[in-house]
Amino acid sequence: MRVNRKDDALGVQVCQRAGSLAAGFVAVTASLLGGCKGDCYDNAAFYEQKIWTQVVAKNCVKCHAPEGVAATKNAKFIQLSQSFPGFQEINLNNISEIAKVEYEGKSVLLRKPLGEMSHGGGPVLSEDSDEYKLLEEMVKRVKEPVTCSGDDSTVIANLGQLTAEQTLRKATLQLAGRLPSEAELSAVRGEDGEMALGAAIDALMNEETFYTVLKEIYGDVMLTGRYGQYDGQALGLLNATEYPQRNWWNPTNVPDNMLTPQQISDRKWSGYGVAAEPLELIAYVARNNKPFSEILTADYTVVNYQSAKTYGIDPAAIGLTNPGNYYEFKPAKVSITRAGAQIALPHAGVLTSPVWMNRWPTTGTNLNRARARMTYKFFLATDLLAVAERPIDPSSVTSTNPTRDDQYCTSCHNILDPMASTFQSWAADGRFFPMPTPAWPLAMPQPGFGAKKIESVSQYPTALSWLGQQVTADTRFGMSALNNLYVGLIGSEPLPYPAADDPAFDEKATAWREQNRIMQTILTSYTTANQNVKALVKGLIMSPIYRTVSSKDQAPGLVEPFGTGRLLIPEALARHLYPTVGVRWVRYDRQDALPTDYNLLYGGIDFENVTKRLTVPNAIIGNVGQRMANEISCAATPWDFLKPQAQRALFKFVEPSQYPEDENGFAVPNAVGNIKQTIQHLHARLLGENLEIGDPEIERTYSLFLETYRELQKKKDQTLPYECQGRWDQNTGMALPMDKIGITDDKFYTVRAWQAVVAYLMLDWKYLYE
Amino acid sequence: MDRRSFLKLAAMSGVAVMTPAALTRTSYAAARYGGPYFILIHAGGGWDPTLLFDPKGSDSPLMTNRGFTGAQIAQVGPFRTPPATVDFGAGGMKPLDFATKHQSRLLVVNGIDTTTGNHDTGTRAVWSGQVAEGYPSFAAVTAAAKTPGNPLGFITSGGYEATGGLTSLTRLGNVDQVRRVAYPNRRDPANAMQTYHSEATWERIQAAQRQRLEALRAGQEVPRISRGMNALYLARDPANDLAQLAAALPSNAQINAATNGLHRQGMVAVSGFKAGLAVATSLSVGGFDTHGNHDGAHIPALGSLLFGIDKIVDEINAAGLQDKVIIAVGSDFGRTPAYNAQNGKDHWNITSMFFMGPGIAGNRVIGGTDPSFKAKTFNPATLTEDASGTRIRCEHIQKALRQLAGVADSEPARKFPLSASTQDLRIFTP
Repeated sequence: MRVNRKDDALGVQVCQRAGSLAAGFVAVTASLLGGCKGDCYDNAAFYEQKIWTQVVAKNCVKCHAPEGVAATKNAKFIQLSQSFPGFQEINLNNISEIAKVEYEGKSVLLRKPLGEMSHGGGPVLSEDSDEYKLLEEMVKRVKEPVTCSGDDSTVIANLGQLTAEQTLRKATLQLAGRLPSEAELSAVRGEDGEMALGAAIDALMNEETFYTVLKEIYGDVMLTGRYGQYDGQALGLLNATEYPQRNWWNPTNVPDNMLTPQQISDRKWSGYGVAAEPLELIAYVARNNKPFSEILTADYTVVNYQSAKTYGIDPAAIGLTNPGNYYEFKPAKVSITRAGAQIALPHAGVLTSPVWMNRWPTTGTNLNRARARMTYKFFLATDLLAVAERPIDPSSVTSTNPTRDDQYCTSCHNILDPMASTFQSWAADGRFFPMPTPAWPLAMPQPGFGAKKIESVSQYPTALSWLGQQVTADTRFGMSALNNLYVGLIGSEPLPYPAADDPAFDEKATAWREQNRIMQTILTSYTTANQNVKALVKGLIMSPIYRTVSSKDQAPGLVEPFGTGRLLIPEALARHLYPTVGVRWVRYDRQDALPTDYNLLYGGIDFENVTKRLTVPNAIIGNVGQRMANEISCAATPWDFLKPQAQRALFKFVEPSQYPEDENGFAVPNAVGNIKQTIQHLHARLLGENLEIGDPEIERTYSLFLETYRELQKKKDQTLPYECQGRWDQNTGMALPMDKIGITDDKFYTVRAWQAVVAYLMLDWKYLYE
Repeated sequence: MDRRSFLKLAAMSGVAVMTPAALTRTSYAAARYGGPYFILIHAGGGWDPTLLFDPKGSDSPLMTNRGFTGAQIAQVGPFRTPPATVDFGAGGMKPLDFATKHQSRLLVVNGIDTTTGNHDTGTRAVWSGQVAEGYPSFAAVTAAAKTPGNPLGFITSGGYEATGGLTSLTRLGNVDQVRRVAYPNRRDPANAMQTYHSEATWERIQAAQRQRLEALRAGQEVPRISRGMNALYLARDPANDLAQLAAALPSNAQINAATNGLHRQGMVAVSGFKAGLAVATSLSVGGFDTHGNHDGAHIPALGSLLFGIDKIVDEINAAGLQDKVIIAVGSDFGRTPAYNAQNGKDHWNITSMFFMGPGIAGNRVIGGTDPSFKAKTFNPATLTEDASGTRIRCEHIQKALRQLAGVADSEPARKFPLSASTQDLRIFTP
């Protein structure tokens, strides 16, 4: 073991091997690493910052990539490009193994680049080059690994972070769709605020809304919501013969227009059960604090009361006793009926669910490659299309099986096709056939993953169970889960590692390292927590990635990994309304308007034609927000004023009769005080801002109130628009009884002034982006 | 906010204006954009050019098509098409009829090498000119160059939507709801007299919000937060005359009365042009990735595509924009010159595109393929067949499109340059 220590007297870092100073080593690194000045480089950092950037990316990867000339000649030295997640770790492992192999006392890693040992590429480095000296140092480091200690972030110290209290508010709205209680806030205000914050986040993740958010995040990833667009849609994916109880709710097969309300309801929730199966499985795994790997390894699926019956399972036998508890899902093992026999499905978590199979179908020539590609993308953080974007010329191919034989195809297909073969027992429509018909093409490779193969043909029907085990054992599985959650919670993709020829490589690589350091810490906590997905969520929320709100005197590129700045998705914004202003924005059938009528206009997706959310607002999104603010302020203001002050969400310190100026234009001090106190409260409630009463923002809002009051007072206009009167129960949409109706006019000119204030705050960046 | 501040803000945001251009934001808002306009139509999945304007018969070396022989191939001026006997579906238009009707304006480019058989990569290459990720669509480049800062410049209903941060992207979806949000202060969108706030109050609210957002932005140095604030500020620019767009939009009922999906998309696109707001639109239809039952599925899909384009041309003419709208039609790549075991055709890097509109010399076919549907090479100067010449590639098309649009030297185009080695092929004008 070699350690690095910093010699404060010299101001340089002296690298020490096995406790003894190695003068020769210092000489080398003095020129290459600035004499060990500054950062300590452990082996991983040394590979990433020196070997990859200065040697491999420039001299080796062209031939030694998986699709390169060297690979086709069975070279053992294989280096992945930066398109592969975790490429540094995989490459370091590979180069370390090669470094250990010696010929006549010298590592082959030092012989081949000189053109020795029949190196196919001839001499590529000279012995006196800096690159060669870096390789020599790499070989030494493999023998005596260097470790460093401590967090050497130079960026985070200069970032402004949300306090524990502010973080709790943001997280509570995001994960639980509510505001934190005073007790919860008090708990995080103390000296142990960070610890209390962690505990509070743990508690939030036991609330039902958290599982809704988790399902939304993975819904955006897997796009299985395509089969939940109308009632009973997913039932059509099930073969009626194999699932004879598919339409259990309609035993006499009456036409749609003769279905009873109960039958319509049963159809709806049966369909939901099947459509939501993969997402509910993910929620089930999280809810029960199981290892997240179970989303791919579970030898069961999950069903609700109605979908249990669809699959011919007695709900009571698996603990489902309340037909009205539509979102209660329990584990179940499904069998199909074929030729009079029952065939148990070999479940492999979400991979074998009907909607996943149908959303990513196979074809006669696609041969399950789409399913394999999506498995890589969703669960291994690997986008094989990004790996395969270089120019090719299929029209020059002469092979009859180019995906196996031709170099332009094999780089991806060597990765993709063995996994595609693991899906061979699952037809395009998601039906299970232990022996596929037509037979799986001999041109396709054995089922496998990476270097591992399934050798026994008898195991092929259960190959997805095997695959699930392999994928979840891969380090990229945890990274993929973190990446998916990152997109859902932060609103952007994690920074990729920059290409070696990127003009801004140094800055981008530094920013990536800042991000990677945090993400690796989160992944460690995930592993420690037995792969509980909640550890990933908690780690992100507690991190500077989630909490950064300001930066001082730093290059913007270095701050790029920090902070959140995405427009809320329609579902999340809809969840913010009730807890903040006390009313929902609903359409005719009382469903939230944002995820329905305004979904696509507000940048949402439909899981089929529109599959990528808009994260940058356009003019229409801007206007939808304005319409929402105006409609909601119109409804919420009178509704809140109808309640006793103590029960109000918005106007706790003021009455409509309290106006700021009398008819002669003189201020009414008590009223002004109450109005400003109310504005202070509204800033806190809607925007999470705890402002002093004299804050310029309070004054800006008060000015809006005052000018609006003056305008109305001058016009002597006391008419309140009918829609903005207190005539309706905003919880139900029903008309209030006559004796409950109030706020039918605006005789003090304040109701509309307050509407203006509420609309103004709802249009705020902090409201729409929090 | 003055123009200098606006450009600074835009440059810092994810929806940036690139530079002062012929139209400043102020003049854009006042005068409206007057053309040229661009409709990019993407046939999703990879179409089969040998069933369009590069036909191969059943007697070609690989029996590329089963429905007709080489001798039966029809000819309209320079255009070769499958014969009239091939059924392009009840709701479809035959290539022969399309070429006949639009002969004088139609330019076909055959034998384009996309250099890929990958859907995402091919789509990107065709509409951005680059195989690598990150390049914006021609529509985004043009919208950003023609109307800097216009958040309605690039309207899309599918296809290649990457903007490269040059401009924002607008999906219109339910046009009746667009009309509703176009007038956010009206209780009834059709009644200007019934508002939530008085006009003075509504303007006061918006002004206060702008001031507040500017205050929040001041000193904000976290890029993600800063970009989000800037984008919201621009999205709310008073110059965004959504009402004008809404007034030009057809109703949902009118749209639903059209039987062709592409036609419906085109109706919205043309209304965006009529409003003087949209510069470029991306439209898309699918159904071309026919690895099985190729003839049964692909041929009607092509018929429907051509029918839709024909109806869009009618819409353009009805709007009086026939001299201002350029149509470009393409797909991910082509399909193999032979059927597979499932009677389908797989991915093939050679494809075609076709174009119509002002500035394009019609009644021409350039490029070409051999009987085995491999791309021929052409002399870059004369575009005549030349064994030592070059294949036509996507970057050639994109370079010519940028020149046609007059944006080749704009800052958005310079920010996303095409390869310096891309030859200047005279594709649109002989």
